[in-house]
Amino acid sequence: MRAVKKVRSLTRISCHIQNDSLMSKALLILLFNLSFGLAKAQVNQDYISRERADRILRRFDSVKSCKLVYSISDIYYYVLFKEGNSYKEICIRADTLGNIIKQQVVKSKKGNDALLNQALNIGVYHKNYITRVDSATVVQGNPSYFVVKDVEGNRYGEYSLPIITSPIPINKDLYKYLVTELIKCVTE
Amino acid sequence: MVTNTINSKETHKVEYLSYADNASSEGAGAVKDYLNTVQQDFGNRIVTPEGDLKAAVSSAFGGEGYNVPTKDGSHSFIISGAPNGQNTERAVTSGHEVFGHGIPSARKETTAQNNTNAIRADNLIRRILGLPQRDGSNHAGGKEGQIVDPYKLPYTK
Repeated sequence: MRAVKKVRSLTRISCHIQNDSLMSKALLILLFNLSFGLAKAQVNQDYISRERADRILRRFDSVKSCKLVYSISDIYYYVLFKEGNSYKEICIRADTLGNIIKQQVVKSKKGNDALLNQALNIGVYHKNYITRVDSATVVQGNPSYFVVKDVEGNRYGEYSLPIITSPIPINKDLYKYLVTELIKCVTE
Repeated sequence: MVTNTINSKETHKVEYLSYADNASSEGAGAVKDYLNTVQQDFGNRIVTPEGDLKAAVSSAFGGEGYNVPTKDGSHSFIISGAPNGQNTERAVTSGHEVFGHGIPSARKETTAQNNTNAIRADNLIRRILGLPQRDGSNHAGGKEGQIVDPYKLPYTK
């Protein structure tokens, strides 16, 4: 919307410019502003998702172990961590400003769970923040965010991508588990 | 575009749902089958053991609208009362899903073509209604650079 307004105002200005070189400069400035504005909007959304997830995770600062968070649309959150001998799985619903509306422990599993154990294994993840998959064959749906953080706050496997992205940059079984568990919470 | 879609050989089904509703069994089957093609067994996990699909699930995937390809066309869900929705004009959401996503979905076109067409159809209807245009940056594929010339007419006719 902002980009369109810029186009309109610059189009009006360009009508008064008779000199070709001035017109070329105006067009270059227009192109720069358009591309910069678009890139900035995308970057902001990725960092809003990260900031919102960090805010959710701060509620569990007293837990001194790795924590995983997966979110859909920055309002539905699934949080996983290990506390003692148990895996805690928590669903959180936030409003569009990031304020928490509802929080519930959905599962508390004792013992060893291969999938959840791997989910919290920081060694299996990429270390950069993936915000686009250029070779994706399917890109569809609402935004989603994933990260595992260690006790020092280092980030692993972090991504901000549409909910249905293929290939997805984490273990496929974990991805399916996270989406289905979170969706169960959404619909209960 | 409307006439050609009505007269096309593909069948585009549309369901209007409230957030608390269940989708039809046909709609639930369409989502299940499609998601199973994206990731093995994914769709089977999304529906209930009875094969039901809540509108809230479609909304979690797509917000106020969600479209999936089917064997002979496409299936769209237009959902009102979604908590993550923006109260978008229903005509805009319907056009976005059915004409924007549905036609390329039915033709099994690429995800980039699909996302581009959806934003162009969306903007076409917005222009008719005098609503602000979208640059596509907040739509799937926007970050990937898939959405090309968002203010042009949809390429599906």
